[in-house]
Amino acid sequence: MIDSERLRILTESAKYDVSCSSSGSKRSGQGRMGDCSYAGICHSFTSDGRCISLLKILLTNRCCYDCLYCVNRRTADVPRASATPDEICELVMNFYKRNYIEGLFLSSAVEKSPDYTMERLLDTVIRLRKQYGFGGYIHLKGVPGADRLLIERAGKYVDRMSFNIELPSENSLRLLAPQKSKKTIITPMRQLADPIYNEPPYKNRRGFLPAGQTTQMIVGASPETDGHIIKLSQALYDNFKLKRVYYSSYVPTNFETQYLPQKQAGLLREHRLYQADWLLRYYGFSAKELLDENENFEQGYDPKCHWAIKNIHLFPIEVNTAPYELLVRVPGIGIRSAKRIVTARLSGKLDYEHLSRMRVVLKRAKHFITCNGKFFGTDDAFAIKNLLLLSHESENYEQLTLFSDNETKNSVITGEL
Amino acid sequence: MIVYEIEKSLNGLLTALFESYLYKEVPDLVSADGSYQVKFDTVIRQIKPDEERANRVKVAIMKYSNEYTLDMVRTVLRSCSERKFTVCFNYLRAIVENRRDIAYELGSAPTVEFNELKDRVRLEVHRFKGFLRFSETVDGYLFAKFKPDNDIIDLLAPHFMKRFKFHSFLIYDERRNRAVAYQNGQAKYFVPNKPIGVCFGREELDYRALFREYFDAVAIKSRKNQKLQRNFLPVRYRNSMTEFGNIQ
Repeated sequence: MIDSERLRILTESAKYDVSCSSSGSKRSGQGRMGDCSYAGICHSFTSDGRCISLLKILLTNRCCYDCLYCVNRRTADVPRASATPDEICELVMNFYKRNYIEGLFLSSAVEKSPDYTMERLLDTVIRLRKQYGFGGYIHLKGVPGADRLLIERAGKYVDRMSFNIELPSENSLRLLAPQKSKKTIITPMRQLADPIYNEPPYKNRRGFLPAGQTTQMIVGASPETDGHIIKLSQALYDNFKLKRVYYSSYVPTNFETQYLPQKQAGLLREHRLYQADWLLRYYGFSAKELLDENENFEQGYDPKCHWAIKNIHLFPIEVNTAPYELLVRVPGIGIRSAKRIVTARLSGKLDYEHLSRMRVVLKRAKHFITCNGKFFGTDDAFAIKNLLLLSHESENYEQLTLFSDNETKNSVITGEL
Repeated sequence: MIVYEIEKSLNGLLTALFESYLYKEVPDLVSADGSYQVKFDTVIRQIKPDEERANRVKVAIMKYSNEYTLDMVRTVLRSCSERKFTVCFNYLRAIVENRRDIAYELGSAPTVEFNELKDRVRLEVHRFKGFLRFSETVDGYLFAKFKPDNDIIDLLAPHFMKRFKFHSFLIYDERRNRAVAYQNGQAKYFVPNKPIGVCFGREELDYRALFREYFDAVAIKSRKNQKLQRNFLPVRYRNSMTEFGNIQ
């Protein structure tokens, strides 16, 4: 059994990998214990509000690379530890049967060489599947620069693989992670996106990477703009069929250098990027529509509001007739609400009351829609912008005076922010 | 105000629907446990379940809708809400009244209320797929106890049967004193007549300690957000979870 000290070290080194989802795989009836739930299951939530779905752990944090942003870089003065493949397997099986976790997220620092590290990772997952009969979810971190046969072999055993793109541009990568290069990261991603893996003999009962591949990049450690980042994300989704791009806002590690900011990047920026990411994947937006390459997102309101205000001439739209594609573009109406509207309007005209009963959030949406020809919002773009800005501020208290503007007065009287 | 007092079952509910047409009235409240306030003008009807009448209603419902509706009603009846019988009654009555399935009329009041309760039960099932904690006993079977808001043990057990196909386990609902035991591919639901006591295996406490260590280590301290944590993991569930409270 692994001791708690090593578990702590190996977990603390792995926790900055944000990928936590256990969804997208339908593995069932394989192995002696465990299956996968397509929607994913969260088993707990830590004090930072993130879920525990997978056991996030490194095989070792002894690294021969020296990436400046990373806690495990060679020159960092941190406690080092390693675990054997059997220790990891035992831990996974015992956590899994107690229902603590949904599967394993296995990664490793680059020890000796990429191939050596990848072999050890592969050894662990094969052991877990074959010897221990584990049928649950496995997310394996790939090591850039490892041999393509090793990567292909891993794809047969795990549900999801990911190679981290780390930083949004080649220049930053050269500056902050000198041993990694764009080529070594992109090559395996391209390999895994190869359509050959969708056909036999790769596509068999067990499947090849049933939950696809993802990646992660650090935001705020380098000077790239939001526009640049979402353009990159879009290219990754289009070219490599990624399931997700994760963004992790930069957290300063115990190390000072002129190349890195001393301050933690804002969580709000990360949040806006995720919102934009969802718009790319589910709402039919393109990166170009959302933002120009050298622009950043407004902090005051979300990317969809930003887009809607820029394109105010398209609104208001009629909820009873507007196509689904346009409904999801209304600020405040999400995928769920849009689907509800489309279903509900089949059996009768919808008015404002119907919408609020259906729990469609109308605070923002009312400025952009008409219900049965009736409009309940404000039609001046500038006023809408201010209202949206206000509605995003959670704490907006002000003592009412004789000189308060109309906006505040209304808000005090109606209770609306 | 008209109140129907029914027996706590699907047949009881369907009989009430039959009688509301018999008396040509719509009850304001349908209750099975008498937990309502009697007002000055309250008329209470005691309704005895009647298989034949219930079946006639069932046929009518099946004519306008399908088996799925009844399945959903069974799910909603697992809810802990006091209004569940009234909500189901209104929903079924709306189907019979309109002579069509109203499952997709998402703006109409009976459907909204019905779906809300249904979603709440389903959410809890989904949550406990993750939040339930097992302990290994000396004999090597897995034991879990929990206190769900809704009566969901029957909906939850199949998930773990699939997952721990070759393992024996026992799940115990402390709030309702109901349990399910699974062994060799067979599940048995029962009401234990004495408290269930188990003797933990040798490694049980060690793995609990390891998980607590893990739980603490994996949080990023500089991004603390306990409000978010509470939203996802309500405090009332925590006392039966390994990572919170007492390790024993």
